[in-house]
Amino acid sequence: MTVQSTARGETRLPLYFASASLFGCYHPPTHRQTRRCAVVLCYPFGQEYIRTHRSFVQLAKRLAASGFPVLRFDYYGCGDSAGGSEEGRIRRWVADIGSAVEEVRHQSGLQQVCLVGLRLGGALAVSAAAERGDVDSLVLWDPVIRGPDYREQLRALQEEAIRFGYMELPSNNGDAGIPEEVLGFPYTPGIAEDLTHVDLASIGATVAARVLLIESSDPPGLEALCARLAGSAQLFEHRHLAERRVWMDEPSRGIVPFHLIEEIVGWLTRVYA
Amino acid sequence: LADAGVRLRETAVQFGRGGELIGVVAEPPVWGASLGRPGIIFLNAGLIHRVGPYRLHVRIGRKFASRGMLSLRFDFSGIGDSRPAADGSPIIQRRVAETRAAMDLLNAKYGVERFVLVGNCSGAVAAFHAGDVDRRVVGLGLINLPGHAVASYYLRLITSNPKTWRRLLYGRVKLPRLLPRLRRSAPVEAPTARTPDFFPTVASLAERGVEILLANCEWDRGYDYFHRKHRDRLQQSPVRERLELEVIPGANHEFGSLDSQQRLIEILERWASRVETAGQ
Repeated sequence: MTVQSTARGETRLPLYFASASLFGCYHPPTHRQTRRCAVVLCYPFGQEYIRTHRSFVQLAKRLAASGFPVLRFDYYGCGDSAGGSEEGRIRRWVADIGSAVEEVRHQSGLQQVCLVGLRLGGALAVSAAAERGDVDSLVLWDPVIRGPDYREQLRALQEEAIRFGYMELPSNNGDAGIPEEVLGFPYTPGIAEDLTHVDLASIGATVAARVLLIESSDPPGLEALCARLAGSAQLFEHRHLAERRVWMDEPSRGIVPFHLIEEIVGWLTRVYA
Repeated sequence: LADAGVRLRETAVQFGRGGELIGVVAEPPVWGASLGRPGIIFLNAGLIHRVGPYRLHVRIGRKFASRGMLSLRFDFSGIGDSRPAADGSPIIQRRVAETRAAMDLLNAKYGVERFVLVGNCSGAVAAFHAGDVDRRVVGLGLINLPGHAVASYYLRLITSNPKTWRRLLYGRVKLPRLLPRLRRSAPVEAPTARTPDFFPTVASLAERGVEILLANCEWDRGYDYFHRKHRDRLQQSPVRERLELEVIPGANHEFGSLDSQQRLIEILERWASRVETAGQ
């Protein structure tokens, strides 16, 4: 697949916002025609954030080359933002997305905003959009649909690390078998509790007028989520793409799912033609 | 920013010839506290962006800031937030140039004159090369520096760690890839020993007064090369006076447990008190 070069004229603006508590990187559009919508990218958390950072940079770069102003940012307690890694909570992160929406509006001068979220970032984007009611479109990339399922996946991943990793790790002997760390990041009782309440299919409000859902597998709850989104959005599209699950790959491999990125860019370009 | 009980200031910076390099400066909470002290620069570990494996560079930078030391974590061109470089120069040459650009930035903006470079894996390689050519460098924190892969590393994995057998049984290790390495006693990868030659360069750095930390995880192959095969050689004068050898037990190459991360932070904090006065 051919990916157009966007190096010419590309700029990136690193910045702190939300009273200097959040770090972000703003990509002004490099296409001669600026689209009427700005995009906020919502990362996953923990090691999935580290593993997908490169893909998000490439996604931002491609969107900017197609005329979209883009803001990537780190949640509180993540990346370069303020706070310790053990301080993150879902309520705070949803509010952080709200701050990022205001910041991209300020930077771009546009009012319409699209949220693109991967894994837990997808779930956070849905919550933020439902609460705010002013998000025009959503792109959900393999979102966490049900928090309890995601908790189980995290527990299994840590169990795998304990069994096969060349390191000494405490066994999964926390309260109710909940690990205290997952893949090198703190896994606090607070975040474990927060995850139990995540259920995208049960969110009552209309989340956005236009929604694209991209899945690489067939997770539990997918059918209910599709039905929920199809019933509330003006435009809902669901794609199944057997693309590389980059949040599972070590960063040293440098893999970027270009086919999936082109799918997202193509959909947004058609929606905001 | 409030972190670890202190308030510190973090600032996004953009530098390099075309402004392609992006980083974050962590300043001490007390104004002027960093004056006269060396600045710390964290270099990318492989393709992981500047926050470091498991966000370690952020945590360590904030610890150093609380001790009154200023730090910069930045991305080499083409990694993390930094745009790819336009020139086609060899990668190590480019990384040395970009590390020196980072030193120029801290000097121009904050008046820092002496520097400590900290890197893990390929970041340690870049730190080593930059330290060799730039006399402003007074400390090198070389973590899991890749050395020659010695057959004893693979033998140790097989004889000392039952997880190797579990990995073999469950197909997590590919035997066809492992067996040739076991037969080999010659180096399979030695980026630091090729150019410049590692041991003479360490000696000249030590003579120059550069403080060197050589820290390897127990399950990193650099442990076998530096801490077993060449330990005696490294402990000869003049290197001995400037070199600290540290091993992080029970840890893998990437510091994939909170416990190993804490041990590394403690080692770097101890070493920092030694490098604070280096080069004065």
